[in-house]
Amino acid sequence: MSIPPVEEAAPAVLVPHWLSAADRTEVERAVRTALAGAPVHPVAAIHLGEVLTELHVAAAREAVWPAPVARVRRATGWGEDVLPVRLSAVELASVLSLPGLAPVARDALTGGRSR
Amino acid sequence: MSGTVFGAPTGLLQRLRRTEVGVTDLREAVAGLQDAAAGSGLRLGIVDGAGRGPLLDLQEAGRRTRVNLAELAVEMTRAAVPATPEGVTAALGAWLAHRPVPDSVAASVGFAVLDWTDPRACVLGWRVVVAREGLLAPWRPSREATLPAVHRTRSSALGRSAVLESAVRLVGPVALWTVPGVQGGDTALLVEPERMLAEMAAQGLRLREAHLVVTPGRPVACAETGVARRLVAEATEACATVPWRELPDLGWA
Repeated sequence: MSIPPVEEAAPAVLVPHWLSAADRTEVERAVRTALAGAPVHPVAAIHLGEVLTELHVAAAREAVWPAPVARVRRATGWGEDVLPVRLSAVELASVLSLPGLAPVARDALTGGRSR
Repeated sequence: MSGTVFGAPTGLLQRLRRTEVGVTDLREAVAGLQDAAAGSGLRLGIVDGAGRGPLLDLQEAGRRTRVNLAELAVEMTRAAVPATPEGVTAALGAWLAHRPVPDSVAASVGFAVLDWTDPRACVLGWRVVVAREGLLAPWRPSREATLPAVHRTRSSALGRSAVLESAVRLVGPVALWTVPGVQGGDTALLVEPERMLAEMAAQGLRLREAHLVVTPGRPVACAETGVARRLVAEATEACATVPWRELPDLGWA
């Protein structure tokens, strides 16, 4: 009998949040400031690190598979810089809990295009 | 893939206002394309056989293909090709770009890329392709091709892929690899993965347990396990995540 691999836990559902280039820059800035500033709880730091990864991965997805997102942009009329940034519930909560997050990025993550 | 064998899909209006492509339209289109085709070594002709419908005859470097002209016209009508001289000529040109690749052409200019080996797009394998009018035409050995000849063609195709110029762009923890000189031929650079590892290390990206996200015809993404999993999560297009150590095990499509 084989032992099931340890890492195969059910992956968290990633929900797309449609962010413009300015929104993404602001989220990245807020996360980097939080990680560089006062000590962050280690678990929160992992989630924030994942958010940084996702910001890069969203750009990489755009380079590899541009067609589906281009269709959404055409249908909605959103700008060329709008990308789906896929975050799990805990990752989203960890970003929204940052006091330094500018209202514009907060709105983009909680309402706006993401509704 | 948004196009079909007859070129870019037609607009909604054309699909509603359907016109019928006839054999006569095709004959005219063949006559119009004969000279241009001859320039690239392809001989186009129409054979009027007794008892059968007219056949479109393609000859290129010793490989001959014959297609029933009436059937081709029906397929064009089904694909909503506009029955105008320009429409049929454009559709025939696009269809000709999908013609079979002759063995000698594959042996002299073919290079290797990764492609799906099954219709369900699950298993990756190497395939010899030839760049032709903006697309990569796959080579399937003809019935006359001998086993040693097939091996020779494949081996020289791998050699040509190995010397293609590649480019890498780092997006955070993800490396995006492309072959700028060949549209859709980005997976060709995977014949020399050591070169990729060295280049990424030189640019400061050292990966533990590197995984490749391979989409035939699209740039190749390279990242660690967790990041690669994140990249392909919810991906709508067919792609495969290949652990680095399994790369040498890929067979031929």
